[in-house]
Amino acid sequence: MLIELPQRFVNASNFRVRDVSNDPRRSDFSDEELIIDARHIEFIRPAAVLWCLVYPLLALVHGRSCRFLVPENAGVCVYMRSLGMFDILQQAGAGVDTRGIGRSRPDPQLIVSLTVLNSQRDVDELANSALESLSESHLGSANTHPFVSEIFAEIALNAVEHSQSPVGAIGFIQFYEFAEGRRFVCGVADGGIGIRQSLERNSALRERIFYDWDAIELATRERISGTGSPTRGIGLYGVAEDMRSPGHQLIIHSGIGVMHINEDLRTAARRTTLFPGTLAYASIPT
Amino acid sequence: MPQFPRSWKGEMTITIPVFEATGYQRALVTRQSARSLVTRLADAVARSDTEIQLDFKGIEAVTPSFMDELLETIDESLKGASIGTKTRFVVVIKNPPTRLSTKFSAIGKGRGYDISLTGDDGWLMTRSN
Repeated sequence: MLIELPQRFVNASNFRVRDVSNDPRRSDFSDEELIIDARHIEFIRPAAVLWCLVYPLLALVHGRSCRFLVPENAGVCVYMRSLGMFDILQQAGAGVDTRGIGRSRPDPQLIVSLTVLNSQRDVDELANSALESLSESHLGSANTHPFVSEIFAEIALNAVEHSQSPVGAIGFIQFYEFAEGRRFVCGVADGGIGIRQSLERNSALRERIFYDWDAIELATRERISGTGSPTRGIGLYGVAEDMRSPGHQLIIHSGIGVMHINEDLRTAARRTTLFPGTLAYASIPT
Repeated sequence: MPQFPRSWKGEMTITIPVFEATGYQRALVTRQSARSLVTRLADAVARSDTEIQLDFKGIEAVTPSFMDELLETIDESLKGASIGTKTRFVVVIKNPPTRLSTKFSAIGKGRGYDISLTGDDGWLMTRSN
C-alpha cells in the first residue's frame, strides 16, 4: 500500500480523500506493506509531521510492516531529523533510510522535540521541562512562556487521558518566525478513538453527536466530557477560550472532522480528510 | 509548617505554600498534582473553618485541570471536616500565576465558587450558595 505525500504538506487536509481513507486503526486495514513516500516533499509543517508519525505507527502496532521514504530535499530531511521524527519511526520498527542525512546542530528554535507521552506523569514532567527550556531559550516574550506550557500541557493531558491510543500521544513545541510575526506553535497528536467515540461513552451525549465535526464542536464547550461526570470537561473548553484571543489559533482535527478556533466567534467545524486519531495544534503570538 | 498571617478579613488564617507542598514544580499540570495537596488542605480546613490561603509564589503556570481538581479537593476537605460546602468558606489564592480569565471563573462557577480579585491581585473564592 503506497501513500504519496503532497509536495507542500501543511496538514492532513492536503490529501485527497481517497488517498488516506484507509484507516490504520481498523482491524481490516490493508495487509500489504505500508510505504509512505515523502521523496517529493519540498515544504512541511509540524502538523503534517505528526500525521507522518501517527499513521505508520498505527500500522506498525497492528503488525504491518512499514517503510518511510525520506524526502530528497536535504533541508526538509534535516528538519524532520532535527524534530526527532526518524528516531521514533526507527525505534518502532519502520524502515527509514537515513544514510547521508547529516545531524544538524540542535535547532535553537525547537523547544520540545517530538516526544511520545503515555501518562499524566509524562505530561507533567514534559510541561515543567518545557517551561525551563522556554526560559533558557530567550525566545519570544518571557510572559508568554507559562501560557505556552499551560496550553501544551492541557492538550497533552486530553490525549493521554481520553484517546486510548495504542501509540501514545506525540507532542512538540517550536518557535517560528512567520511573515505575520513571531509565534510559538505546539501540537499533540494521538492514534486513538477520536473525540466522537470518546464523547459517545457518555450516553447523555450520544444522541447529540452524529459526526466527528459535531463532536469537536461539543468538546470545546464547558463541562462536556465522555466521563459523564458533571465536574469534568473543563480542559479543552479552557484551551478553546484562550485561543479566541486576537492572533491566536487552535486547530483540532479528529477523524474526518476539523475545527479552526480563533478570535472569530463564528468558527464552525467541518468535514475534511481522515486523521486516524486526534491532532490539536495551537499557534500563539509572542 | 503552616504559616498564620492575617486574612483578607483581618482574622487569623492558615496559608499553604503551594510551590513547596507540590514538590517545587513551576508548572502545575495534572489532577494528581492537586491531589498531592490533600493532606495539607485537610489539615488547614480542620484548623480554620472559615478561610484558607493558598500561596502560589514560585509557580508560573497552572492548567484548568489542576485548578478544577484543587477545588474538588478543597470541597472534600470541607466535607471531611464536617463543615460541608454550604457554609460560607473563603479560599484566597495569593500570587496567582496567571490572570483571572473567563476559563478560571467558569471552573469556579462549576464548583459553586464565585471568584473575584482582591486588592493585591490575588483571587478571592467564595461559595456562591
